[in-house]
Amino acid sequence: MTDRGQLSLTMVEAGLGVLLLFAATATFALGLPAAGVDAAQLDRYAEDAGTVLSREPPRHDGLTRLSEVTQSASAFERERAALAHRVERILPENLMYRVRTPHGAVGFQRPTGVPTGRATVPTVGGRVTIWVWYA
Amino acid sequence: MSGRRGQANLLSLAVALTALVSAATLGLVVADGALAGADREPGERRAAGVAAERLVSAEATTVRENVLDGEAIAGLSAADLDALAPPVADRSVRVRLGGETLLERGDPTGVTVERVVLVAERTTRSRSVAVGDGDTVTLPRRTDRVELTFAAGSTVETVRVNGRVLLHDPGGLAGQFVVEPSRYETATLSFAGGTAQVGIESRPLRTEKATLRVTVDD
Repeated sequence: MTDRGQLSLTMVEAGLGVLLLFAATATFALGLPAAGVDAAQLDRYAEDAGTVLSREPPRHDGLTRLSEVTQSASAFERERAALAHRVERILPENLMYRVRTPHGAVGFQRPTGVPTGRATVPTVGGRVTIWVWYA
Repeated sequence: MSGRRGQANLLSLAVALTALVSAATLGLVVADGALAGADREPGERRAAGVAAERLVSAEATTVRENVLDGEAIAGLSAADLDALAPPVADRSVRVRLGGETLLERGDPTGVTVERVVLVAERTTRSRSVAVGDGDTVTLPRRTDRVELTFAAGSTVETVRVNGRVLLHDPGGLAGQFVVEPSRYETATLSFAGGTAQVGIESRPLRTEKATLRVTVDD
C-alpha cells in the first residue's frame, strides 16, 4: 500500500507536468489565426476579372459587357454562354468561378469551407458579383 | 522495504524525466513552427502588391485599367518600376508576364502577387478609298483612333460617325484629321457633300489574356 502510494505520486507529478506542457503547446498550435494569403490573392483575381469585364464593349447592346447581362432576363439568357466562356478565358486555369447577376448566375456551385475571393461590380441594371476559388 | 522503495522511485523518476523532456521538446518544435508560420513578410507582400497594382493601373504602362500596353510593358526597366512603385526600390524583384520574364533584379524567392490582365497590341491598318456623296466606311471593331487624310481637291463637306457630325467644312475638307470613336460600338464613317480620295489609317487594339506575376524579396 505504501509502495503504491510512493510510486504513483512521482508519476502523477510527471503527468501533471506533461499536461501543462501540452497546454502551452496547444496555444501555439491553435491560437494563431490563418495568414489569409489565399483569400487576398483570390480577391485580386475576382477584382481583376470584374474590372476587365466591366470595361469591355457589349456584344449586342448596352453600355458594357456587364451592363448588357443585367439589362433583362432575355438579354441574360442570350449572353450566358458567352459570359461563361469569357470569364473562363480571363481567369487562370486553376480557378473556378461563379458570376451572379440580378437575372441568374453562371459558373459552378460555390463550395463551402474553402477560401473564396469575391468582387462586386455595380452596373446600370444591378450588381454583378464574382466569386472565385481554387479548383 | 526501504531499499525497494528507493529503487521504485529512481525508476519512476527516470520515466517522469523522459516524459517531461519529450513533451518539452515537442512543445519547442511546435512553437518554432508557429513562429515561422506567423512571419507573413508584410514589407515584401506590400511591395509586391503595390508594384502589381501600379503596373495594371498606371497610365505609363496601360491602355486602360487592367489592359497593359504591349509595347510599354515590353520596354519596362528596373528604374521605371522603381519610379512607378517606390516600395520595390532596393529590393530584388522579378516581373513575369505569361511565361516571359520582363524584368529581373537579383534572384527573388519571396512573396509573389498575381494579377489577371489583358495585353493590348496595336496593329495599324491603312487603306485609301475613293468616296462620293453618301458613301460609308465601317471601321474594324475595337478601333479607338483613326487618322483621316483627305487628298488635295477634296470636296467632301461633312464626315459623320454613326450619324453624329464629326468634321464639317463648307469649303471642302482637306488635310489630316485624328478621330477618336467610341470603343463600345462599331464605328461607321459616312461622307457627304462631295468626292475625295481619303487615306484611312486605323489602329485597332488586339487584346490577349495573360497573368502578371510580381515577385519581391528583401
